[in-house]
Amino acid sequence: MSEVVVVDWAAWSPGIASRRDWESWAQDPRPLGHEGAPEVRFLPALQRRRCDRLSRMCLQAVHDAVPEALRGGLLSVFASRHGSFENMAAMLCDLADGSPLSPNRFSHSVHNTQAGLFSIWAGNREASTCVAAGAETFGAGFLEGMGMLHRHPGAPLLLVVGDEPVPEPFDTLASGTGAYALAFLLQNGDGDAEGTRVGLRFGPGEEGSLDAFVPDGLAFLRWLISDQESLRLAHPGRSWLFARG
Amino acid sequence: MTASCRLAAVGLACSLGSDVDEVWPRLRSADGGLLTRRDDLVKGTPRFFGQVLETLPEIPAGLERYACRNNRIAMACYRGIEPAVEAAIARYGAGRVATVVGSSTAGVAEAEHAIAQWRRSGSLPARFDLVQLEYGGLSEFVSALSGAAGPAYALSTACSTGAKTLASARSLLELGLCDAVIAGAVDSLCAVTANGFHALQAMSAEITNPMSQRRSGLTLGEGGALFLLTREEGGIALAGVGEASDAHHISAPDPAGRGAEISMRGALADAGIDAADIAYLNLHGTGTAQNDAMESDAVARVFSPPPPCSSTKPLIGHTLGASGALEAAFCWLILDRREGDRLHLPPHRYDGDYDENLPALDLVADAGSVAVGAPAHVMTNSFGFGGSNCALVLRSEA
Repeated sequence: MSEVVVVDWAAWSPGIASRRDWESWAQDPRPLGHEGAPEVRFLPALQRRRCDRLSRMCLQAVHDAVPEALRGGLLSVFASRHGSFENMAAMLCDLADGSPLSPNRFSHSVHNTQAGLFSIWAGNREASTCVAAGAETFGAGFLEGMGMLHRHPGAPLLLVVGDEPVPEPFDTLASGTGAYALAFLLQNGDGDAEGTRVGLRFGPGEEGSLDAFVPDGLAFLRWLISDQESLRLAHPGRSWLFARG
Repeated sequence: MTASCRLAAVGLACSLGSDVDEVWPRLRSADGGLLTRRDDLVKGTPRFFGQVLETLPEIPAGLERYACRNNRIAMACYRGIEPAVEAAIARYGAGRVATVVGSSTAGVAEAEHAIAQWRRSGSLPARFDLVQLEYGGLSEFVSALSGAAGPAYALSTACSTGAKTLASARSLLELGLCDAVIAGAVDSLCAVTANGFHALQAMSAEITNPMSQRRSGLTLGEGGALFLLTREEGGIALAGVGEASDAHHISAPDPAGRGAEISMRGALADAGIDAADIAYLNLHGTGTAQNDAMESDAVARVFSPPPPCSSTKPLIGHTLGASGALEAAFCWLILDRREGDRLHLPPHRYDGDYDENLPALDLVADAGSVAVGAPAHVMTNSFGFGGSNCALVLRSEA
């Protein structure tokens, strides 16, 4: 079994930001809020203005999870099911209305928008990639993180997971999770890094029995701060089995 | 050092054709006559586009929710690797075959139609499914189409996507989490990307003209390439991967090209070879002022002298997320179609008026070829929005 070490984490969702907030949420999970965004006052004003909400949430979680001295040297994986969907939906409406597209909006609609903004903010030139896999997006990001730690040994890795509610009219077609972003600082399991050692393997799929309003990334966080030995994230195609090493 | 990682099979689709035997002679002769002039994507502004010209396969029954052009292009690519995937599933079991594919557009074209109808009528078309617009919809579709039941996910890092799927696939093999991986990328023409690049004033009115002093932007294209990667010895291998971020700007490359340089040096080091071992370099070569200046500078710093190189974007357009996979497929073909000690190379198709402000590059001329030893190495560059850079080295033993 492949292992990595979860060294630290932080998360942001409307009304739930501090570690204490998340620990009490984990005791009694409730649906996440849909409105609001962190202020990200640590960003330069120009960059802050250009940040859409998903980028603000992700960068806030990174800011809270990783000390400044480490940020420039991190590998990174950003995982999001829908990415900067608000920019995409706005461009689709502009096209339908015959309006020209905003170059700034187009530039910030790519799936690696948050990775690019992180790289610019942190002065980070390390390898970075961006993942999507429907309801299995968190597991895919974790797996990609393991792969990246393997091919670039030595450096720690930042895993960021985030999504926001799908805007109108697509909201009628989406499962309605709220707005959230999570950041995990990971280290290769081969070393002696301090933290929670986590192994991943796969099991047979089954129809989901998880709380619909707790996306996989937050189910993982709940498990991480619990005393449970293992976590099973079941999906129709496969189950993701996480266990403490 | 990395274990052997074989690019065991490849399938592709682009304006040059949709199987390797159709594409190879057109690639070798740099047939630029297959681009299509259209004025419907940017309304009233005619531009050239590289378009998949064949009638695409129909989405199979049971997978209708994935019915978008992007996934149909993926099906056209998949034909080229289907026998190898079936053999891998039979040999290793479906659960040991993973899928890591990518796109920068997914089914945006279908979402454009859906939103236009919603604006007119207040409801989305019944046939539209949000999964068509999700990047993860592509990996779900390829996994379902092939029967590969290992982990399946999508990458999307703008124009470096396709190259990075191969890097990730190799890591999954090395970690022992699977025994074969379907990897690659697909992108399809749509109004969002055409109008987006138009808004950035990055689209050329004429066919893109990389490295020319008259270059004036890119030509967009669509297509894709899918590979089957295995841990087997021999054949054509993914020998080296280099990745870096620019830390510069969300849509313009770092003019100093540091991320591009780190990627190329990283791929050479990963392959365990020297710059002089590269027999051919497939340039990112978009034909924008910024890319070509940055890339030629970075190439001149890494290689002395630079190897024979060309951009194949004047032939098929810039296929965005798919470009790294398609251009890796072209590199695969160059190695696969080796004759004795010679590699035949795709000529750099442009107006011939090299921009003298750029460092000199050895651009491949018509009927170009290069002598190689055994093994032979070629490199391909991919640089994307957000400052995402990736270089790959492919190797053939003989």
